Amino acid sequence: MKEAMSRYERLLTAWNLQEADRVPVAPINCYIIPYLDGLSIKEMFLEPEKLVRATVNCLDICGDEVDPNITTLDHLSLLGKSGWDQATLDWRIWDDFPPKGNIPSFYEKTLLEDYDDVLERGFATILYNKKICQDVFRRSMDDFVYYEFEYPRIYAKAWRKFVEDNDVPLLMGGRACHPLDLLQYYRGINQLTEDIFERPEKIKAISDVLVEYEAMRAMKQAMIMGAGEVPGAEIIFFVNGGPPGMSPRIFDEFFWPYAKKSIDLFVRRGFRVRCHWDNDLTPYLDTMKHITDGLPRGRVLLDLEKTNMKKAKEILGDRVCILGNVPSSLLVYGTPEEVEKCCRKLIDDCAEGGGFVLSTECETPWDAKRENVRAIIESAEKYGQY
Amino acid sequence: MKDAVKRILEETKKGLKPPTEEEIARVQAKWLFGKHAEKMLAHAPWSFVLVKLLWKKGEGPWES
Repeated sequence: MKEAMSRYERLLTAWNLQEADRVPVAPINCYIIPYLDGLSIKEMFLEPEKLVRATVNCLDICGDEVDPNITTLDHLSLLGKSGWDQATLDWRIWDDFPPKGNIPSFYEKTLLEDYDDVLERGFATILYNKKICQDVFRRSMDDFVYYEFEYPRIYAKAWRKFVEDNDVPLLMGGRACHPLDLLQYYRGINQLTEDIFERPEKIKAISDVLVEYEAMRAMKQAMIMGAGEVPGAEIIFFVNGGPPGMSPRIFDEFFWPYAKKSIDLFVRRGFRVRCHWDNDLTPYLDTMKHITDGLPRGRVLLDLEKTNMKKAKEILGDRVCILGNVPSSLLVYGTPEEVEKCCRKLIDDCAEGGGFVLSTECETPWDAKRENVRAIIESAEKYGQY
Repeated sequence: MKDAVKRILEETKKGLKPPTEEEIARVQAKWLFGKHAEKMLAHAPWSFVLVKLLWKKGEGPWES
């Protein structure tokens, strides 16, 4: 057995496609932690000290890294931010968890009505438009200025102290969204699907603008979180949630070029990129083989939701570290024994030679059973020794 | 913090080329004002006035 590593070394060894002391394990815990610790959504969003304390109280389900919940900062942003802002999109934010409230929910509608107009006059044309949630107009100017410019530094300070005190790295420092995913938010999935066939050049033109904008904002955020000083803050969480069910041709033409452009941009500026790509991407694995072309080893990780992990390991295993993917449904409705069985299979399929992190699908559901999340951590310790 | 972790962080820090304030301002202006971005940046803070001239009929907050 190899000497025990620190969590950060263990994770980076997997990123570097090598075997660590054991398989790293890192469930993506967002809302479950404040929920288990009895915080409200409002406290989670606005009181970082409480969120950090809740995370300390839930270290038994965190594994080798923690999610600093940067999505909350995105929701409070003054401008568009990673598809999670209330400045251009209809996100409803409640004060409490269910049953009194809900976790933040997106109301899809066509907010970007005219590509040419937005290319000509910019996103200012849809910023604070009349179709977004009215709650946002009740916030004062001082409130917006505080949460855009001052609060991210207060938030980063709280997480830096957490990492120093607990020796647990952050899952990310900044967050960016793939332009096709953003356009799904701005147009709605039906409209975007039509656009792909009817207005392909408009999608490409606006994607070019969005790639650069998202990248710059995410890198700035990572620097505030302490990139190069706080373990994990140098990681850009590069999200894609949709659209699901693209044909390989559509994937190659509309998704892949902008994904690769974004990844290259982050890596060439010295950041690591965690591609958090939802849906089943198994049909596109041959294209995704080129994800690290031209890049140094150890800078990219593929965090896969519904993709067949065994196939991903076979096709991508010598090129990029993969992470995933215990089903959400199992964590809510299953038993620890069922979770353990699933984890053992994932380890059997993916761990050989390194380059694998045991984790959840998109995230641990807020109402998952604590003992089921715990079973993921224990399975890595039990079956994941190298 | 272990020495190995400190070493990784030092190397990471050395390799970072984060965007400058100018780069961020340029992409934000492009996102905000599209093809008018350079004009808006060149004439800041007068762009506060210019932006009103970009509004079309029906877009003003008083025209709900």
